[in-house]
Amino acid sequence: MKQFFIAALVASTAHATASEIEWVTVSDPGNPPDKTGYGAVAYEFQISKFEISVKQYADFLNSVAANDPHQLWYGERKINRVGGPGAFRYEVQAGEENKPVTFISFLDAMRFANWKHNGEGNGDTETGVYDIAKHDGLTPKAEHAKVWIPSEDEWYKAAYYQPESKGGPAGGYWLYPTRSNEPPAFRELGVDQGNSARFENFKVREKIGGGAGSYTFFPCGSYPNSASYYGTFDQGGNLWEWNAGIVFETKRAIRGGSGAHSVEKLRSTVRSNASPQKRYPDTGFRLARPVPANVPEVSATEVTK
Amino acid sequence: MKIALSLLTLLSGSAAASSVELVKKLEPMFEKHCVNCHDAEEKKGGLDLSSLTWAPDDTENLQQWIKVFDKVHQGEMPPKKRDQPVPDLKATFVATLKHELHRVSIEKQTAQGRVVYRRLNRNEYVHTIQDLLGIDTALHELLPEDTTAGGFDNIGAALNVSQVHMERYLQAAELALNEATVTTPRPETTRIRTDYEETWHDWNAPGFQNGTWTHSPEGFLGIRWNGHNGPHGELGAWKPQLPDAHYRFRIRAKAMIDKVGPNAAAADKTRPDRAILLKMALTDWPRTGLTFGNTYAEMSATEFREFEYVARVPAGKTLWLSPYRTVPEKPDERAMVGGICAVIEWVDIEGPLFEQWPPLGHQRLYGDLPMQPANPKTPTRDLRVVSSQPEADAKGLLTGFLPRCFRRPVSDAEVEEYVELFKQQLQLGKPFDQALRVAYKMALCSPDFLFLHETVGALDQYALANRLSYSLWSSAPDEALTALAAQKKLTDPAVLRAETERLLSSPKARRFTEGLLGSWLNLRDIEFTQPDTKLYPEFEQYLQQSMVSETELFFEDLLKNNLSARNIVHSDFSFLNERLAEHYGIFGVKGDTLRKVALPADSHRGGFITQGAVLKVSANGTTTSPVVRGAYVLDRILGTPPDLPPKNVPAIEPDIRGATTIREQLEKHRSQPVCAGCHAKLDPPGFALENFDVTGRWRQNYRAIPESAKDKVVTIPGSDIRHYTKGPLVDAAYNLSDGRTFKNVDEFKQLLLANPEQLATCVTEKLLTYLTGATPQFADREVIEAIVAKSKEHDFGIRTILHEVIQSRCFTHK
Repeated sequence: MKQFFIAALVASTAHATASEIEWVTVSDPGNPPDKTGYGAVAYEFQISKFEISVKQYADFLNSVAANDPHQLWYGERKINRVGGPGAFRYEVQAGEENKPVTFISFLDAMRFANWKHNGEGNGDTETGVYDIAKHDGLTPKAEHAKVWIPSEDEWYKAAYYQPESKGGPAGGYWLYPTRSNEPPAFRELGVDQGNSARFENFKVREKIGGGAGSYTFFPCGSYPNSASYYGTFDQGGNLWEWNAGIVFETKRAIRGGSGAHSVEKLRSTVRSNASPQKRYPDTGFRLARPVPANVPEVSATEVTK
Repeated sequence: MKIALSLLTLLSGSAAASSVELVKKLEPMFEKHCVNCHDAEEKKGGLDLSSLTWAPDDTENLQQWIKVFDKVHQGEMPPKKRDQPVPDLKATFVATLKHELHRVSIEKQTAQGRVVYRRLNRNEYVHTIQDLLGIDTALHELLPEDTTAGGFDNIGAALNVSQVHMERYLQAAELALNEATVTTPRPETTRIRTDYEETWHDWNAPGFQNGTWTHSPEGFLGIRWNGHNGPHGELGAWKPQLPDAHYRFRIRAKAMIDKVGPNAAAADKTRPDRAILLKMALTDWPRTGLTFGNTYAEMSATEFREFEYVARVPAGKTLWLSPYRTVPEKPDERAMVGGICAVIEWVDIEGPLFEQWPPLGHQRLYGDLPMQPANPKTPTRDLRVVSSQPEADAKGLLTGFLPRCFRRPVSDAEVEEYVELFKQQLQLGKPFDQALRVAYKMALCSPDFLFLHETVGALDQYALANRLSYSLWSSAPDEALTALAAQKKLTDPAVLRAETERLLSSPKARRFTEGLLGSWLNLRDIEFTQPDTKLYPEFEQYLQQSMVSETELFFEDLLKNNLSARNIVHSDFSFLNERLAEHYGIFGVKGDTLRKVALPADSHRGGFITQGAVLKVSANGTTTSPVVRGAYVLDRILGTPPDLPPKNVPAIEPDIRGATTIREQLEKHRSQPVCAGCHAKLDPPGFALENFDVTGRWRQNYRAIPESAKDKVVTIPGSDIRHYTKGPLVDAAYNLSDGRTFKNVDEFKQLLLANPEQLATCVTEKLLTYLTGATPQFADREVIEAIVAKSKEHDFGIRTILHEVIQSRCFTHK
């Protein structure tokens, strides 16, 4: 009971300041890779606890897209655009604020990272972490980036790793990002005995609403007892997430499965991909950054223990 | 007396003296043994000899007389139960009529030739234009289907030319010239690696994504079986960089049985380590679910394997990959489709591929003339061939092109006609390349291109080269053959023989196999019927392709090794892959490659007549008919086509409910005297093949559609296929019209093998028909008999027969 209470408190606190990105620290530098070849990271870093939310993306649009020369607004994202060119404003549809933002291309995510890197406000979206000029979505991040789209190893470690010496499985990697080698369950909101995730399950979806073939997602962090070892939420399910891995020279990697797909997509072995320009109704992102000075090394998982 | 009068009447005139002699010789036989049944009152078999005049210039009349001759010569007439003519009487009749029929036929051949001035058929047209311009554009669909004669689609007398033909020839020539003409610098050949992940995201429909696709334990995307034509295998996230060019796809894939997906219940019956066929094809994008250029390869369930698929990819098409079926391993085990997946690790795509640049066709059309962009602002597209001396260049190019196009030397005057045409276009303001293309287009639509030019008598060197080339390659002579014609060496029998060997050794000789068997065995119609999915649910495209390949490889082996014509009825080998072997109940053949396999003694297989493709084209999609199959065997295997059925006699409709066997129905039918005569010949070969169903599968019992829920539906161990009930037992026993009996197809084949001359004669007739573009005429009979006699020295070897046909006067003369 105590665990539930603390976890719920952590989650509700996060949602209360939704436009601020919350971070967790991914420690244990120098960890070995998984048998898939991914996951080894030689340094500490931080990764956002939740997928970037609709509200956070709307803040971004309101900062940089009054004219929207890069066509960052996409009508399907639960964000309404009002006003005329030069004075566009972006309003989140009621009840969608804390849900993860969808229809994000890798290029969109790069621009969001540039904006964050450049201090938000009217910060540049075209340079900083990534040089967008080529529009191929393949440029690497700048060496001293303050924030970036996680590398595939960073994303993978944050999702699946727990050192064997700290209670993790043999080899240190879970199959699912809920600290489990067993498939998570798709449960209704407010019900989470642990190892839960939002993936496609027709019977449960009928209960929560949303017909067959629809894309309905839960607010970020809706399963407070199903975080990864480092305290991230929803790296399995809810939305597919871009990472900076390059696939077949022209594409970027996507991992984690989504609320539109079956549970096996949440496995560490599943590595999807798409062209960086593509926007999908079930694909979003999260960010990474260096560990700031004097940050206590406490993860959500450790809090709930 | 009535007969004699009519003969006398018709023979009076120029041949009056000999006609009197003819009448005297034929009259006794007619009077004594024929007119009782074949007069105006009885008219048995529809033949009234009293009104049959002698008018051999009339084709129908001539055929009637040939029929009379054959019936008497072969001993069918007078009927066995009637008084038989004394030997001298019959001999005189046969010799007299034979002499007269031969005389008439040879005179006609001498005066007109035996082959009608004929155009290229659709296949020949397409191959010729493709070879000429170095393209492989699909032109078949543009042209009307050819009419056939005697089952063959290259018979001059049947190949008409209509207004529609001319319109289509113009369209086809335009398209072919467009395809051959380069308008860009050489496109870069690239190699990319991709997979189905992006395509899968692009589907944008969760229900479909989950039902049709899965991920393997290794994390790679697995394509589920979703109906043989259900849309699911399209690589939508790729499109050809340059449409209508060749691309090489390398695919790394593995088989997987998916017990989670929509077919999980069926998959439960399947071991997880089953090999599965991978279907590789092209398909439409956006998706339609239709595929073409299908090929199949076997995926392992235990390791990833690499497969290669090379195809010309038109605009709007993309790659299709899907699982097709499991590969059975045990007797009585059938293919499964439930739960099968093709796990795709990656797809490498290399292309566009070019053998040379500019391509062959462009070089033939424009030589080395320079190219310039039509618009300087777009230097890499809309390039046009230009000339600083248009008339001279056009003349030079046409002088080179027209002999290739017309397949013979072309005079300066002929070239000048096309140069004039070019100049007119130039004067009308057309740029050099477009004006030249008008001249080329006219050449491709001229009779010089569209027709084979042969003059009465012995063929000239170029006509002979064309006949040989169109026989074996369905296309124009190559440079070597043309050179021999130019040197006037081709009429030398040894040279002709050597060239025959050379052409047969070329990959283009596959067109001979396909063209010949398409007509002879009617394999052209393999797609004409689709086996009923309730009665024959196991039938599928891969099996059908394997069947056709079996028959083609089998024929090529007979030809390559000069094996006996006996093999068309029975052989101790065939060409099988695992799928086809399983269909035949033969186990131990592994993999998807067809290879020569020794047939088990009890397999009931061997020879054309027990091959799946032949058994399929001789049946409809639901049932077999001994009548249809009997007619097929009589015509195409024994060379004795049956008479057409009498009018006003309804066809027999087999009872697919299984209540009445076809034997019972036919016995009732044969009780009618008007039917009995023909059916005595038709039914035996048909019944001999009754143990083979419409898919060529061996059956002990007929299959029937269940009529009620109480009917027991057949379940086959290890299979998810069961839609039919077990019908009555098959009874294949019968007797030939001469009284010899057989119990099954094995005994029937032995009876046919007793007369190898007949089989060799049939092979000779079919080859003669295909190679010359004309059905055998009466005067050809002596040629055919000589060829068969010659081939007997080589056990009726097929290659011997082919060479003898090509060396014969029928081939070397118009």
